Amino acid sequence: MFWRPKRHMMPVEPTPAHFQTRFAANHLVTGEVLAEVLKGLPPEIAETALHIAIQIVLAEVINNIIDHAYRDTLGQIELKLWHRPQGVQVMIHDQGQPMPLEHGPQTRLSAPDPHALPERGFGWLLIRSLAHDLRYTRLPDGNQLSFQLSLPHLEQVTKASHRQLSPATGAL
Amino acid sequence: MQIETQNSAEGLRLRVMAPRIDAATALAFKEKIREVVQPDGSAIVLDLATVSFIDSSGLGALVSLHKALHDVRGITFTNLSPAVAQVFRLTRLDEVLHVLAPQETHDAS
Repeated sequence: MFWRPKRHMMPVEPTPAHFQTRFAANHLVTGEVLAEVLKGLPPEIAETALHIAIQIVLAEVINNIIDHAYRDTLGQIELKLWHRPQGVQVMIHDQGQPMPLEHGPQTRLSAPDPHALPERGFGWLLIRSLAHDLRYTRLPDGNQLSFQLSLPHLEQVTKASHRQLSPATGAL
Repeated sequence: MQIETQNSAEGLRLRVMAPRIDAATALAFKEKIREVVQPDGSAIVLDLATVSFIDSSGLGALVSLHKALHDVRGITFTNLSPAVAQVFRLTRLDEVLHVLAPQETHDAS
């Protein structure tokens, strides 16, 4: 009947979002936006690993949009969030420049080596470690990033990061 | 951003009086530390008790602080919130930065 977005162009939005907001791409408002997002989460998520992970991932995704997509311009960011069993799905849309490849989620960068004392490059590492089903789409009018956060996935991540640390710590 | 300083047995304790060290505040944080810390003196303990969240820019600021002070004065970080401890672990910066366990003792290992 009507024009339908092609599936590969735009992740489907099956149901109306449980939470959505639109805000200025400005580092000064990110903290407030995150507080608002946390208030909109179902109560069973408070005090779980998900509560922390969602702040970390959203902060880094928003930083990337401000610093790269809107590097030379002002703009708005739109965030939608759906509750899922044991987690959330998030979709973030901006109308900025395409994400440069080296800053885009499709590039597999090696994690920065902490022993080299890097001061940058932690953002995508944090996003990739915590989120799954990360999908970046360049749309005609901007960028869209969708991802999921779920408790079972986060439990694995936590176990892995503890295990990795135990015997090797202090080896240098 | 406000930093409270206090001389203690373990050195100069700097208490960061801010809820976040992030892209909006990392620069102010670094400048403020530079204001209150001399290049030489006793060891520094950066107390993050009131800081609930640190993003990648904040981590960068902590690394830069570590680089500036570790060899000359020594610097340790303490009272990490769960979210801050999580980003330290995920980036493996906890292998490099010196983290002091908080005051209270845990039986769990």
